Amino acid sequence: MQKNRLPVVGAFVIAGLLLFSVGLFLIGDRRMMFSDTFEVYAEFSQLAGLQSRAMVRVAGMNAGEVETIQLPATPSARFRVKLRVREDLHQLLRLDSVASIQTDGLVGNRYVQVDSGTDGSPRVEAHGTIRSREPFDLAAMFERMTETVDLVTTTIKDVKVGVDAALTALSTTATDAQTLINDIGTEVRAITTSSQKVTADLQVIVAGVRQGRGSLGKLANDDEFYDKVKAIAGEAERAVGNLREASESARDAIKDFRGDKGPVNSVVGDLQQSLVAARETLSDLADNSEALKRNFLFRGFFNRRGYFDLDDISVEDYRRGALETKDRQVLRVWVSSAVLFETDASGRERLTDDGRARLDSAMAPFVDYSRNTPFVIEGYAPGATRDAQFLLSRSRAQMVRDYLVGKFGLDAGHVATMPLGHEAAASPANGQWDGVALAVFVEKTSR
Amino acid sequence: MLELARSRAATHLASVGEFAVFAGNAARQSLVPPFELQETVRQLYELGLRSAPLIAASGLAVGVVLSMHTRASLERFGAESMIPAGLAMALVRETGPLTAGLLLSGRIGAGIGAELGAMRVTEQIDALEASAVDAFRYLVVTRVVACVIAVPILTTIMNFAGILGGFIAERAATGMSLGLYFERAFSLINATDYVPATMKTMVFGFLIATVSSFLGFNTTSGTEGVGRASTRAVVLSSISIIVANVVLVRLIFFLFPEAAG
Repeated sequence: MQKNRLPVVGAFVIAGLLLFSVGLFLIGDRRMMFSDTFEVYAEFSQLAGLQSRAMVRVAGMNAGEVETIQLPATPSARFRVKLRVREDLHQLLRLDSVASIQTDGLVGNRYVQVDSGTDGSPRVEAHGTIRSREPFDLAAMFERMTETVDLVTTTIKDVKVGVDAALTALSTTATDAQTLINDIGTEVRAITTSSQKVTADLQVIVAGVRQGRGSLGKLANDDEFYDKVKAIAGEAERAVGNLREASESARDAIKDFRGDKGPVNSVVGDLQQSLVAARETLSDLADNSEALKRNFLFRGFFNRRGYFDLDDISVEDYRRGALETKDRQVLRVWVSSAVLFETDASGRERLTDDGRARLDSAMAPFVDYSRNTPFVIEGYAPGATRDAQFLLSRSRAQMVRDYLVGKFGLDAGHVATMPLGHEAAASPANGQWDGVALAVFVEKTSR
Repeated sequence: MLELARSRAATHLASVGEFAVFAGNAARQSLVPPFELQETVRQLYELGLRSAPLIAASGLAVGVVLSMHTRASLERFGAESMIPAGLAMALVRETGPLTAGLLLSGRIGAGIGAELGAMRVTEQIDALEASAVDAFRYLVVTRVVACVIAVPILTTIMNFAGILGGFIAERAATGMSLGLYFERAFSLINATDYVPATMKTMVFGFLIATVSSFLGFNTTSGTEGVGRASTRAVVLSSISIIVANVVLVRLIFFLFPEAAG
């Protein structure tokens, strides 16, 4: 009995040990304990949870394991990862092979993936270092995604602001065009009226001349004078022609702009071109009007119509009341600079929102008067010297004028600016003023 | 009442102390000659080899069941290819050693408790000692040594039987080849998962043998005492294995940090 048991027990123990060894071998086989290997290094600044004994794959094939991970000596240094790779895959590892830390599946273990190099590149020697790519970090990716989403949101907001601004600009341009067309209409009517007047005057002159009356008649008989008048009339005619062209092209542009097919950019371009043309025409018209106004024959007519040439009126003349005739009286609204202006970062003044609101309410008494009633923005400013007072008061008046003309669609030809320095005789503040005054010269019977 | 509780507590504490001395003696004497080789071989045969069929059959069944369970879980994640690796990892690390330990505490613990208890109440132990035989060395140390050797071997059998059982279930479900199954089964297991987990069952073997021998060796009250000793041997060795396992797993993680990963 005893003798029979001994070999059986021996077999049992040996079988157990063998079985245990088989398990070790199965583990060891995967770990390449029993096959030829060589060692290479790869360096990473981020390990992303890679541990020693992690698997190494060469071109996707299980090829070894991470032997050790040497810690970096300084913050700028990198982790040096020693990889043990099967010798029979050595020919795949070239100097341009790249090692990267990957995740087995979405949540699996980390392993080192080594891409095979190219044929032309030399083999990596044992104990050499291969290039590496920093690991893909899910958390970092989410962070970048969040940043990207924020960026996209900001961009969309910016684009929206841009689109809003573009639409506002388009709307303003359309309004400007409308105003321009209205102005052109007014100008055309004025020109027509003045042309009729010129014709009537000419008829009188011609009649006088025919009768051989006075020195004017003699002057009128002069060919040179006749030619001048003819030239003036010709210019006026061309101006009207230009105006018509301009208004037609502006109308076409607006039609294109309103049309479904027209690209916005080209519409805006057309509109701008039309506006430029219209401005040029207006400039021509202004020149022609200027020529007419300066002609002593028509000065009276223009003055009655409200065409004041403020260039001819000095500040002193204006102070003395050059625009206040026996038929006209001045109506002023005083607006203080404290409400109107603020100084921006560059030290320049600009209109505040409160200031705009104040100007809007200040305009209330003036809107009842006809559009061609002379309207002067008087600028007042304190300053150490007269030139400083002049410059600041002029810029203030100009700013207010630009705002009012744009906002209320005023006739630009009837709104003038007058820089008056610091002194203001009629001011409610002891003969001085800091701000602007809106002055309208109304006919005494007009209300 | 309080007096009774105090005296009972003192009795239990005294038993624990006695057991500690008993286990210490067993450990010490198992390392120093003379070795009772013949008796040790006999115990290896009785306790080890004759437990092998029980362990192999249980392991096979556990493997099949584990495979079915891991399939049900991993299928949800589309990770069926991980079934062999997951099953082998579970078996090798914990299920194999603990199941083997508990099965053996039932079979071996009851056997030792009953055998030594019967020898005690029939005064065979006294007779052995009267004939100048070191009864402790002859009866206890041989069993302890046999258990320390046999339990890791039986655990290995349990592990392989379980992995084989998993293969049977996997083969039935997907027709996977044996080579691919074993390749995958061991793909995630490290030596730190395998060796310490198997070696810790030597402690299980030592606990089963010492606890059962202690209870059997100190049996009183006749045949009734033999039955009680047998039952308590199973219960206490099972509990001691489960409690020791907690400490051992913590110790393994402390000594082999990569095993915790």
